[in-house]
Amino acid sequence: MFLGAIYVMRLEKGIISSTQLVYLIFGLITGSILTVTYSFGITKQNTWIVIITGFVVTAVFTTVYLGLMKPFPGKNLVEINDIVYGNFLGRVISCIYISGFFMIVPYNLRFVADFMVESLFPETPVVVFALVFVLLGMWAVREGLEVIARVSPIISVVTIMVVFSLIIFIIKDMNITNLLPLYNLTFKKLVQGTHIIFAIPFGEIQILLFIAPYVKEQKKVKKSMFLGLLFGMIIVLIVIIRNIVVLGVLLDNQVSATYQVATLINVGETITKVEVLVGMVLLFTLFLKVCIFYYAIVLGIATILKMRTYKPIIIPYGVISLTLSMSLYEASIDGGYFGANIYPISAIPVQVILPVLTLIIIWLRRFPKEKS
Amino acid sequence: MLDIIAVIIEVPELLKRQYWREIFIFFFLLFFTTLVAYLYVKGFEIPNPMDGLKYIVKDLLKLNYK
Repeated sequence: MFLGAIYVMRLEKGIISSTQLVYLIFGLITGSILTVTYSFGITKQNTWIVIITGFVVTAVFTTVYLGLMKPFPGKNLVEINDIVYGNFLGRVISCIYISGFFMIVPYNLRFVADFMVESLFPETPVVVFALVFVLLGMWAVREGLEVIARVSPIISVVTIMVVFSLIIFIIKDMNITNLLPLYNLTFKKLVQGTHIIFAIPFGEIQILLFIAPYVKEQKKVKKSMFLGLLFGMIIVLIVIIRNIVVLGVLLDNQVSATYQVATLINVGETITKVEVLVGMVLLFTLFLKVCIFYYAIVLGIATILKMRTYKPIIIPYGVISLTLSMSLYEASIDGGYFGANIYPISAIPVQVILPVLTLIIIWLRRFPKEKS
Repeated sequence: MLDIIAVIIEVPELLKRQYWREIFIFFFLLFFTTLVAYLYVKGFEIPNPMDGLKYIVKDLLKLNYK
């Protein structure tokens, strides 16, 4: 136990404040604004309902994740597994967790590179953007958690400003009747949409199990996690409703609806071409998201291997995620299919089953008492 | 080539602190990832986790939505 504590102290010296945690979660969730598109094809104009139900489900599971953290302050997910399941089984379960998170970085790399190529730089090879992105990510992760956390408020403020200015610019093209018909949502579609929303933007809050232990005020973690989740949800909701209201039926055949909305903006022939702003915000928020996942995975692997510093893993993981991101699929349509139909199911073990199981075992073995 | 840069960046600090175990892990992972990247560049099919997941979820378990 004591040795474990020393390892943690050496692995991450940085300490972040609870306000920075709010911004981190906010950036994590808004980074997925464009991937919410996956559920547009399924739930169409009712996507905003799905966002709210997804938020409720996520709030429930966030309490589960917080319940995991509560008996073990200052321990990350891998160490919690080591304590709860014992040394060997804990490692195995941590490996399952890590393999579940492993593909998220390559996937987001490919997503941002595809987006840049499709909308802004059609002549450039995809690999260039992924390479630049992963190099930046490497740098940020090498600098440590504090740097990532410190950059997050700036990114969040820029995101909020861009979202609201886009709304103001596009207000003349809005058509509220696009929200109708309201209740033609079948139960199966509701479940699928909610599941997508839970799995892709909101459920990824689980990665905070690796970051929340390094927050200075442990008592405020719960509050700031819910606060970040709420703010993120509100921004995603605003963006989604704006997209629906502006685009209407056109919505389901857009690769990135937010970008499409921005191309429509034309205020008195002066304010045009604002879609670059969307691209910029996407880069910012996805950068934050990739950094958080990159950091968490590298830290997790280092903890599993009982290393004294996580730095040696950064470069190999960057190289392999770059390679994987290039060989993931042929076109971004495949990615949309995977995100909508396969990924939510394949994420169930990591996002739902294992945390709940761990929480039940924690309850049965009454861990806080044993510790004191 | 990139590997050499990576080694130059990482190894001195580790050597200074005498983290032999970490150096071993670093070289092992670096070799592995470079091999994968090299094979990809040369046009080999790399087993792709996404296809594997697709196969398990869609064809074995038949749990997918569509």
